[in-house]
Amino acid sequence: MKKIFSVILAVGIFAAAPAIAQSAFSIQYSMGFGSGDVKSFVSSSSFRGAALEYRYHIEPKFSVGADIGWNTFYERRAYDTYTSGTMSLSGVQYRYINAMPIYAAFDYYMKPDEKINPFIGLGVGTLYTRRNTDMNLYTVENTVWAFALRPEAGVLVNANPGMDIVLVGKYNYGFAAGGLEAQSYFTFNVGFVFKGH
Amino acid sequence: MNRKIYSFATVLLLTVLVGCYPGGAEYVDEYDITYTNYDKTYDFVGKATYSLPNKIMKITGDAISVSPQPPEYIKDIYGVPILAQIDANMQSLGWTKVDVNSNPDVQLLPAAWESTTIIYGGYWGGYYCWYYPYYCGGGWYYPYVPVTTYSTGTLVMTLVDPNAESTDSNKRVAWTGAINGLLSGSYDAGRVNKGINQAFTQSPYLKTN
Repeated sequence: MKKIFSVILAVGIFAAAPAIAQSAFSIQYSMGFGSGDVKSFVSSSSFRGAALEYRYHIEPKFSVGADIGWNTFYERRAYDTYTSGTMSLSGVQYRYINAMPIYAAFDYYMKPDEKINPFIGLGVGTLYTRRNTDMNLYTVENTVWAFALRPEAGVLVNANPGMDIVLVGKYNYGFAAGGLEAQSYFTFNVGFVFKGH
Repeated sequence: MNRKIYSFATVLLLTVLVGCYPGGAEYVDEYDITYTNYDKTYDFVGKATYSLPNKIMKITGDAISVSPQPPEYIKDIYGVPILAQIDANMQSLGWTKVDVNSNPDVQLLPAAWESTTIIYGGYWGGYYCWYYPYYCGGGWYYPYVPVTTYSTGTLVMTLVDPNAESTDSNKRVAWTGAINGLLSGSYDAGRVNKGINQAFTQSPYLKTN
């Protein structure tokens, strides 16, 4: 997963960099906060994450684009006993969720000509979730691609004519699929937006 | 200027993604697990006595039914304390230890592995005859189908009712407890005892009158 994402990231960066004309490309650090089933499985927040975004402005107030992100949730569960039917298993458990949202993005900008430019948006796409439960030397793994929606709200702070700083909150909601309940989590992202001329 | 920021952000992000992957177990005992399973139709409460061999069999090969060679046992320096720990747990649950010739209600049979082994139901049932030749009747059967992969060091405790037989004359397994962990450089009795205690702690249905 990590390697796949790194490759996608690298390809995305180098492919997008020369094509930032009338468009914007963003690199963001992403913190994740689980909700619902994600939080039940891993109660800890995630401070391992990133997102790449591309936006093409149809007009100053509207853009379309694409997002890809990655957040890793991890928790060590203390020694405990887990029972299923007549079977019981005790041990230390390590739980991981690797989540990779991929969206088509649609955003509306409220004050595109001002230094601080709030925006709201919606993403429609898919949420890849890989969930691992490790005990002893073994892992139980579930991988799911689910239809997903992602509302977001944030601000662009203009740093110079070619660059903004972005602060954005997102809510990723992947619908139930593949035996997993709906997977949802919030992210708070901070990053740079590199704008075309 | 922006190009420098762009390069810096890219390198920083890649470093974060590649370098900060979450970890896992750091200490060998964090790999220790204890597994138990039982026959929910078996009446433990109505039983009172058990027998326990004075040695722990060491399962070494793939022999199943009739082994041509006598079995190996783990060294007494390790086996005796393990047996004592099992005794202590059984007796705290109300069981009385008797000689195997005194017609115990159940027989508790321990065995140990020291390598990666895949255990299917009844895998080591063929070793039964080495423990009690006079009870020998084709091993035992599991009323459920446990399929478990064991690796490294494993101790399995199997509770068999010699008086309950299936239609194919196998002995009935009432309970199985297994502890498994990575083998470390030196034997750690504390880890083993903790695992044995846990097997009985998570099996309160073993309590008898």
